[in-house]
Amino acid sequence: MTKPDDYLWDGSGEADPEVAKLEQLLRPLAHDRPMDEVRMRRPKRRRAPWIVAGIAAIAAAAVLVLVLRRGDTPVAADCAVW
Amino acid sequence: MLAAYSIAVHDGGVAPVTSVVAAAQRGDRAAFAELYRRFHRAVHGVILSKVPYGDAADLTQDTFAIALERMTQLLDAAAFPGWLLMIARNRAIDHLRAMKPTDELPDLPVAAPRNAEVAQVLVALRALPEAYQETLVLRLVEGLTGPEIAEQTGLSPGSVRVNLHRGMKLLRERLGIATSEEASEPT
Repeated sequence: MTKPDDYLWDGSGEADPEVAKLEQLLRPLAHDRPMDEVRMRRPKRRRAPWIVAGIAAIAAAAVLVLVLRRGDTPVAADCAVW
Repeated sequence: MLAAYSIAVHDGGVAPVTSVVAAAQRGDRAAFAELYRRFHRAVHGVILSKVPYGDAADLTQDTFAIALERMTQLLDAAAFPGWLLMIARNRAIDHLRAMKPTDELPDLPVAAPRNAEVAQVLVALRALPEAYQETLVLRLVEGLTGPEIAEQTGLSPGSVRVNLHRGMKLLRERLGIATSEEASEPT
């Protein structure tokens, strides 16, 4: 004798009509694609977060130095009237 | 290349997952392809329970690419199913954070008007507690049986049975479906 939820468990026993209906509705969404060999051959190389943070800090420092140097430029030089 | 597949297979049987994982960790690409064959539906199901259908297949490939890259970091071959599905969950969550809300209806491989019905069921499934949504997607979408779900997720068969039963009960309530016993009750 089968239990009422056997169909839900392993598809055996008398079919539960609502479960069967949901299966029929959703089964076209099942995955059937083969492995993407190209992508597996070239796995993503992601930079470690500390490397990304280091690069960002160096870039920020460089921008800051440039801005400060511009600020040091004598105003007279920019506004010189010939 | 299948010739490189060095896993000893029992008499007419299937090699245990731990042997296949160990071979894949030694760089055996055929063994990794075998892991894909065994687990791709579980990975896709876990991802689909979180992200739109149109993105799930791509994220499934992503998950295996990450797993391949990190295979040597896995210390216990027996933990492979849970480890792989954790990568899939994290990948799906990262994707969800980065994406803008989209309508998945046009991507569904089902013609109108049934696609609207499919979308409605997916929304109801995704609103269930995580353990129920994943187990039910694996059963109803990917077509895995309870024992297969247990094997491919690392959950105990008892937990899978409970998740299926309780999840289905909740799903019926949310979709307004009466159980067969309720439907036959006199009014």
